[in-house]
Amino acid sequence: MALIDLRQVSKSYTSGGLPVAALKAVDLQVGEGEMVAIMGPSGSGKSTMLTVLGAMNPPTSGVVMMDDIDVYALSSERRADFRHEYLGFVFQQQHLVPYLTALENVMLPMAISRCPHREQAEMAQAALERVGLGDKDHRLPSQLSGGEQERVAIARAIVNQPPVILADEPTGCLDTQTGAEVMELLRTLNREGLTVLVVTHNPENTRYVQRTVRLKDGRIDGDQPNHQDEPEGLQQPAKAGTGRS
Amino acid sequence: MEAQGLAMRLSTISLNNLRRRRGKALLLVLGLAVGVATVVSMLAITTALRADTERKIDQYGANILMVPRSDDLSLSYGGVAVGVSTAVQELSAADVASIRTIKNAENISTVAPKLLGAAEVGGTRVLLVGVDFPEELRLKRWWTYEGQKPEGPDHLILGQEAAQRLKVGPGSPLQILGRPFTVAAVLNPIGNQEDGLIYADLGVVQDLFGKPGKVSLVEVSALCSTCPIEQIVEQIGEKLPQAKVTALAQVMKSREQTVEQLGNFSLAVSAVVLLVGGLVVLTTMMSSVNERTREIGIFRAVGFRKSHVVRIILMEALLLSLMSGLVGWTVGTLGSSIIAQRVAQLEAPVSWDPLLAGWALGLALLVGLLGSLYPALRASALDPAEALRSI
Repeated sequence: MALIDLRQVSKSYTSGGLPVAALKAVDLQVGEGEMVAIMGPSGSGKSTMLTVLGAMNPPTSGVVMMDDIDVYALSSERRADFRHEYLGFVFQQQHLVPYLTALENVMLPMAISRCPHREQAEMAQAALERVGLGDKDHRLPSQLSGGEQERVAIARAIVNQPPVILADEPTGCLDTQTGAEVMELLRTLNREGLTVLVVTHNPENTRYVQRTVRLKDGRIDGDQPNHQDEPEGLQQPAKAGTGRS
Repeated sequence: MEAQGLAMRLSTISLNNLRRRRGKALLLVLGLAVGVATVVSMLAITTALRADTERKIDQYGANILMVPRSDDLSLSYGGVAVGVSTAVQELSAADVASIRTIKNAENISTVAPKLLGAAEVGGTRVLLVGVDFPEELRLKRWWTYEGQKPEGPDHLILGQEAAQRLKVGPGSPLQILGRPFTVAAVLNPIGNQEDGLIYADLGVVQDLFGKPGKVSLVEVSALCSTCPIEQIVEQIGEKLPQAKVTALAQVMKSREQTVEQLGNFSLAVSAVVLLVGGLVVLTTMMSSVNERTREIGIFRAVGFRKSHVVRIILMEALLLSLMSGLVGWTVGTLGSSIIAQRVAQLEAPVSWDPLLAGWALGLALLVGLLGSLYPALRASALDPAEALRSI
């Protein structure tokens, strides 16, 4: 039983009066504990796929199931609750709230949860320490480097302990060294049991994942296990469309 | 750790945003506070004007005139015809005293009885008015005069015209019906029949005309801020069936009408200014929401509901509106007290009215929240995927 199951998902927009098919009948299954890279040139539909997976972008047709929940059958408000509970997003570095400190940014998802304030702060501090920023909790995003901002975003994504992390070009604005550190961090989280999906156009990043899905013109153009990671002894995915558990 | 004291609530986001966007917040507070200040000062000035008008109505003249009921005589106050009629009736001192025993007696501020009689002084026929000087002076606060306040039964007050005709001034001796008097004061010109009158002590005049304890008419002044003048008239009428009691209400009514019109005018101005204030709130909040598009995308992505986004924005609106209300009330009250003193020259002061503060806060909240509702709903309706993509 796959944790994430996309069935015949299509998404089309109208751009400048012309219909654009961003996703064309995509089938994709991702098992629990997998780390998958979604690659493709710009315009291939990979960002659309991430927002569709992120319960933020209803597909034109098809079904998105996560943990046996038909995500887009939920009402808009229930879908927000679903994101809160199941998903951690890592965006590019601009996606921190500029007037909140690092710690407050990490605590953001907790503003709407019922957990006690003391516990909130402890969990957020722990998450910051996980990403190696325990001492920079009171800095504003503008006082942090690009790599540090990215790590704050990761801390925010994991603070609620969601089962799935969705990352959109997490290394896009970073230098090679910092980018590698961020990918390494995501791999560590994956090894601790989180399911991680990374959208990237950087082939370097496939080194860190177990499976690479390639998109081209809105269709899956390739889906292969990453043998470089064999020594880790993790299960390798079979062909696209095959469910995993 | 420091982190222990920290809590993250929706209000934390609102507060931090306000702290960071001080310029925008200031603009909104200013826009709304100007509106509230206008309303507050208009209300305060109208209230002060109303109080001032009531006080002036109280000051300038009797509200109720009592004359003996008479079938065949037209008796006008100070009219020369008074002494001519043979059928003159009079009221008694007991009648005057009973005025103070009506149910609404506490509304009666002054009771000024008068005895009128014609006399010849130095070959000129004059109208002599016997009055109770302290009461009369209290009633006719607009009187200004040269000389001194009458202090004894031999003192007189003369109208300007009477003094000129008799060629006397303050301090001059004057013989009336064989009795020596001293002119204590001469009134400055008033412009009505009072200019031609001679005022003397009521008791003395009663003696001179041989009518002890009798009065021709009584002027009654009621405290008008609360006066149910029609009821007072009715009550006096019941006590004194032999007297004709008339309320001189038209003066009051016309003044009240003026204040009323001013009140309506300020309502209209307030409505316009508040509307503008509301529009300032709307545009400021709208542009703030546009600036925060990506941020709102983040909120939605981490699982904030639409209602959470609405709450964040309305919370900001609430805080800013409360500030606007306070600033508006303070500025409005200060402004109106300056206007009341310097421009309108009102005697009634503008006070720091907590009730008005409540209204100011309520009004600011109403306008601020109404103006922010649409921007808040717009923000919550943003497509999160789109919002995240915006730069």
